[in-house]
Amino acid sequence: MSDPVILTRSLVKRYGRIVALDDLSLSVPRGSIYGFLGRNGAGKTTAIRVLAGLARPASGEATVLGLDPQRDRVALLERTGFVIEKTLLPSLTGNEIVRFNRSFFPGWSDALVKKYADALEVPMDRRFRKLSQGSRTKLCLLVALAQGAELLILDEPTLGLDPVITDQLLRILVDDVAASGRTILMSSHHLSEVEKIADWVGIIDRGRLLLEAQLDDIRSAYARVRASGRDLPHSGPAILTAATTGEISEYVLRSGAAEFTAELSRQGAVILEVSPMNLSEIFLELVGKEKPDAVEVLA
Amino acid sequence: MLWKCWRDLRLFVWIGLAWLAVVFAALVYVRLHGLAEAHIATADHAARVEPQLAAGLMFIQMAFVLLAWSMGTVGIGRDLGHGAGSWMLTRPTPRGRFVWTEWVSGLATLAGLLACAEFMWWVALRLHIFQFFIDSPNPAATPLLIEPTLPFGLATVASLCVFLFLALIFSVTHCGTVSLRHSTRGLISCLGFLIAYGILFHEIAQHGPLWMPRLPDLFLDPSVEHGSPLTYRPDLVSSIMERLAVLPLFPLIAHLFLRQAEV
Repeated sequence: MSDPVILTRSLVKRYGRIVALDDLSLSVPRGSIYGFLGRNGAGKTTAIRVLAGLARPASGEATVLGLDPQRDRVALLERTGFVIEKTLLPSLTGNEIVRFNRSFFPGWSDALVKKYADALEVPMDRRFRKLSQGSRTKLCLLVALAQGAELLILDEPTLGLDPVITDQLLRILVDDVAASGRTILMSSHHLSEVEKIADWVGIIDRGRLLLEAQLDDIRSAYARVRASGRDLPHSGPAILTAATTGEISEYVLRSGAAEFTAELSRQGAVILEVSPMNLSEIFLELVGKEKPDAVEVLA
Repeated sequence: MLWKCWRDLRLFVWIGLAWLAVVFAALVYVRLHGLAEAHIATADHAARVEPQLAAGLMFIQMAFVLLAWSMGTVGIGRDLGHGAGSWMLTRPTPRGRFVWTEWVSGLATLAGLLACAEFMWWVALRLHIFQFFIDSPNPAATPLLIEPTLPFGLATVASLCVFLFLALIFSVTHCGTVSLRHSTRGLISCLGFLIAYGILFHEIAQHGPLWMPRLPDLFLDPSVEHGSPLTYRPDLVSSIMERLAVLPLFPLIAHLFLRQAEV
């Protein structure tokens, strides 16, 4: 992987006895749309808070655009747009929030505010506290997009948005942000949305990164195999999960489906089905396991 | 950021000015209709009236205590309490700038309101003299002799003393709101601080061992000897300096809290 804009090494973050991040090592390449996937409470938001300098890790390192989130906080925030909590200043209208925010960012664009306010249908003259959840989210996104930041870090950006606006937002992220070479890290548990636009994916569970790879590589590497035979193997480097009912064994493979099926055939098994897996299926297999395996990088 | 401070504080400015307008209207009414006896007053009367006027001005200004208390609850502390902390603290500016800008803006607002009160008071007194020239019933009295004008120096010292107390209330509440990330907690922490400090100050002054350094007196009027409103305290300047030195400690504490805060 070349030139990562976000790099973490063995990040650990604890809240009392709860381990929110457990040896998390991320690497987000420049110019990518990185889908940061995980269940609720998996550690996505905590990781983003650490990247924003809002939380300090117990150990490990993080750099964003080559900057330390704690030491170089201001320089980092000038170049990065964050959407974390979808709460802005309750008593201000959208226009007032824009007015307040404008002075912080040298690359601020009022033209983009107008464009995105129209595209996302944000009521700019209403107080934030009077907005619906969806409109609040849209305003948060608008403010982050208009910063002209070279890196956008969005925590659950589609939360509360209707399908039309979600689609509109994803188009903006692809056509306006990613197309200009900027990087997006987008956390979500809505896999279909991430699958639409992401080119890189990281899957986190219980604070640990289970998988980090290009989406195309994941799709081509992972496969589901059904085979019939006796005494078929249940473990191996390529096997993510294996389940046997009678003489039928079902495998989820991380890679090397062709070699694996050839080996099964040599052992006398009959290959019933070899099917590719989509992101949703892979995610469920990975986070559904009781004891997650070590991180896998298919770079 | 200054704009946001103004946006947060402007309600208090309007309330303060409305209060002053009401007081001013009442003063004008009383001056023009109720204080006929001043027309036959003498220099002795003026000397008697001056401290009363100073006390009156301080009374009007002290009504801003509630305002100062409430003003301390706005800003970054309240924003943290409303859940906007992660957004505010991802603006590219040092966190301390929020605290110090709000603190300076708050003090400037209080100073402005007190200056308005002093000006209003001055105008009200001039109205009285104006009336004297119109219909003085006592040819023996002259404006110079009976002028019950609050001397500028005394009025300014009175206003400064009130300012120091209001600034203390505002600073403690602001510090509490930022440190505890909640407006109501900020209000309560200010009350708690004032009560605790008052008890500690009294205990050390009354029962503390001789070697123990005394705490600065943050409450009593530093301009006058206690019980003798006509005499300046001999330690007036040092007392004021002491209070001025204590005030920045509160935003400093808030700054340190905010710098370490995880959101």
